[in-house]
Amino acid sequence: MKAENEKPTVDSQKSEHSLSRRSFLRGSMATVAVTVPAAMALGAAKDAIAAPKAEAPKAAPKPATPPAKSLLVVRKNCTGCNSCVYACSLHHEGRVQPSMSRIHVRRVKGIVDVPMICWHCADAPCVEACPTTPKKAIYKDKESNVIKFHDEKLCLGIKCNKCVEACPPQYLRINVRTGLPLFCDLCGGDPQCVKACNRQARETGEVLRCDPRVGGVHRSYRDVTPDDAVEGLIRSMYYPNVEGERR
Amino acid sequence: MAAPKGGIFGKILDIDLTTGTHKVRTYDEALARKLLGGTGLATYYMWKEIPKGTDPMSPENLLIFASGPLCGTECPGARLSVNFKSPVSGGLGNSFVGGGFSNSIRWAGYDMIIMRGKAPKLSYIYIEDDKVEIRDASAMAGTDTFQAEEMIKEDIKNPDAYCMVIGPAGENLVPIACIISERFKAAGRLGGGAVMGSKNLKGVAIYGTGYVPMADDKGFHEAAGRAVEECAANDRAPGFRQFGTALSLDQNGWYDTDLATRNYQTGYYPDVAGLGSEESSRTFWQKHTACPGCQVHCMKLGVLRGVEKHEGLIAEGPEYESGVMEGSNLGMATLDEAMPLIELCDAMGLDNIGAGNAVSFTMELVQRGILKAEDLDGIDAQWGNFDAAYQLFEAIAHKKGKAGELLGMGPWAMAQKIGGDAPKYACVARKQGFAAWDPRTARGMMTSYSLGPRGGAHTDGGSPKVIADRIVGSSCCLCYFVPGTWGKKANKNIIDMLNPLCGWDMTEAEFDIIGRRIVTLQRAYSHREAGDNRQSDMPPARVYEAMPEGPKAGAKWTPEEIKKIQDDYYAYFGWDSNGVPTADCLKKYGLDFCL
Repeated sequence: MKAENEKPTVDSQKSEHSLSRRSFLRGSMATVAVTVPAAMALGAAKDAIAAPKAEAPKAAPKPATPPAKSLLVVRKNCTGCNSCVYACSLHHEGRVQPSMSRIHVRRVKGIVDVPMICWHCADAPCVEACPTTPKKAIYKDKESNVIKFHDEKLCLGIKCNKCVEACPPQYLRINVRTGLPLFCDLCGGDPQCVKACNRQARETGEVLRCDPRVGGVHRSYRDVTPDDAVEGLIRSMYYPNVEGERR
Repeated sequence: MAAPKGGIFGKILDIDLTTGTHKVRTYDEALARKLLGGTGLATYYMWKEIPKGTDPMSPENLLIFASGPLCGTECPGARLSVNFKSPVSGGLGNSFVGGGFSNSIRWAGYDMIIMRGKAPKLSYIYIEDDKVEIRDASAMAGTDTFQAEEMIKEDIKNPDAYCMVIGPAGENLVPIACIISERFKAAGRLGGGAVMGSKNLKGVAIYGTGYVPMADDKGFHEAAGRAVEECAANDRAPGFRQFGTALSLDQNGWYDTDLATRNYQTGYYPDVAGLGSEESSRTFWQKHTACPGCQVHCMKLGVLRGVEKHEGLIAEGPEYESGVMEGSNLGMATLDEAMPLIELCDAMGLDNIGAGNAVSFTMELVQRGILKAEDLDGIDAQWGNFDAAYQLFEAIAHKKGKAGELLGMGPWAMAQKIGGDAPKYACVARKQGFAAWDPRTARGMMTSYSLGPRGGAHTDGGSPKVIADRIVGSSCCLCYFVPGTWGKKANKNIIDMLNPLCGWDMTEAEFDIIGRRIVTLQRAYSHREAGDNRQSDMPPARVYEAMPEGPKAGAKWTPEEIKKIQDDYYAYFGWDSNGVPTADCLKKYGLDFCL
């Protein structure tokens, strides 16, 4: 029973390592560099070596991967499993609640699945659309590349809805509890949706991916609305049935 | 009444279609701990609230969409349990469908939806959290399931809602009609579509914005996170993810020889190479598709290209069951022939196992000279005749002509009507046609078909223990593929999730008793309504005939073997030797209300 309980932990560690093997190696080298002089200085070899080793994760201050600054998506590989949606609401709200997710997947005509994500656009049409004066309620944070509130009290919420309407990928939703828009915050640089997606997208090919670039995708790619995406996906997957209707 | 600590809402949405009213009823947490939810709880309400001897097509019958305690959480594999008194078997009607409907019931804040009565005109129901509307659906009359779903979503202006709809077959009250969700997912067996049609209900759409409360958030997320990881990491899952259930087609046709062929005359069908997963992945499939929250995206979508008929047809499958019932069992040998039939079933809202059975049974009767083309409106029902099969399926869906009227009844009622030698060739268990496995070689299927709670169903389980375990899964409303990936740890994983979710301290022993209790309750119900006993559990004549060809030629069942599995089964659940739950047994399981 004990061995069975331990197994998943080992597996999950493995997969984390394989995701960022290079940074893992870098991290462990740093650990060695720190531990050896410390042990020598203390002179009590056995205990001292054991102690810093146990604290190894703390000794590697650099995160496993560079923080994500934007997301990328391969729409045609999406199975509509909603793992990303579940992971998002679980991370932000502590439970599965798709209406409060910052990522959505829409199944259209039962045959294509379109993930709707925040592109973290360089020009941020949502911020552009925010009508409050003299100060906008939201701004784009340069450091994390996500949209943040200057002050939640400034936001007019559902009554205004301008940012939601301006969002090209139409991922933005209103928080059912507070009435404020729910902006993707990239989970502080380590998006949970990407992790959840990668966990089971082995057979379909990658769907979601973190991108360290700040600029986001090109405007022409970004401006593909979910409806446009549906049209393109149906044409490419189900040609000659370009409407996806019954035959 | 103790308020539930979590996991269950203790709320049932009860909609009366006759009066157009609804109310929210509550139930006690103790009942949930006894019967969990899903199938278990729904059977309880069927017992209590469908009067004994009710005509399944009358307004007094209930249609229950039941969700389970684990639905709407991150536990993978949620599905919906559809419950009603069956127009096919006259007994327990219970069918399952994947997709997001079940989760949405929970996000809307209910555990279950009961629909009763009959709407004055064709209607659909829209539920958004606590808002419940019964809306006019007369514009949708006669539409296929795809159109109906699109029209409902347009009407409610909510593309994220989940729908359950019926097609023409359900509207025409064809007993083997089913209920379809998301265009290709079917709550197929035992005639739920006909019951829904008899209520003048074209569809139900639901959207929920809430969440499932938990007694112990941290404990549940840990257990569920582990379960998700184990499901994703399981070494059986990649095969399912890549090929779906069609994986079994290739192997079963020539090696295991349990691929139902030409109305179960043989299980050996090398032509399956033209229908199997290799052929499908090379020439047909375009996309994997999954139910929300599931790590095993077992469904595949494809398009027919470069074919004479049905160019550009989009369909889901072949699954194992659909690939057999519309493939080998009708003598079809290519995807060009099987896929249009499978798609037609989905679009018309026909149970593709039941309809495949009716047509294959007809073809055998034609083969043996019992039926003639003139009995079938001139349709030449020969093995492998695609056009004839397509016409027959259409006739069934629209109840058109003599053929449609006859075949729509399903093989058992057909055999009774035709009489003579016909019943000998009807492969049915408790009035419902077999599924796609030949029980002579797929030995476990004999238990599932003839002894499982529903009869003729392939998912009930191959031994008493598996049946009891699966019914617990079904009452939590889990797809059995997901516990399948957990293997021996399945029960433990479910308990590990249920306990923190609901604030219980359930043990494996209690879990085991719940399984036996629900199976016994279901049996008591089908005994009350359809008189199920040892006699009705007897399999059809075909299983005593030897498998004629292939590596397992000669395989068959003997009456002694059948008696043995029946004895073992009844003993396991503590029923009497006639297969009827005794008063003591009912008391022991706490089912005193059944006495």
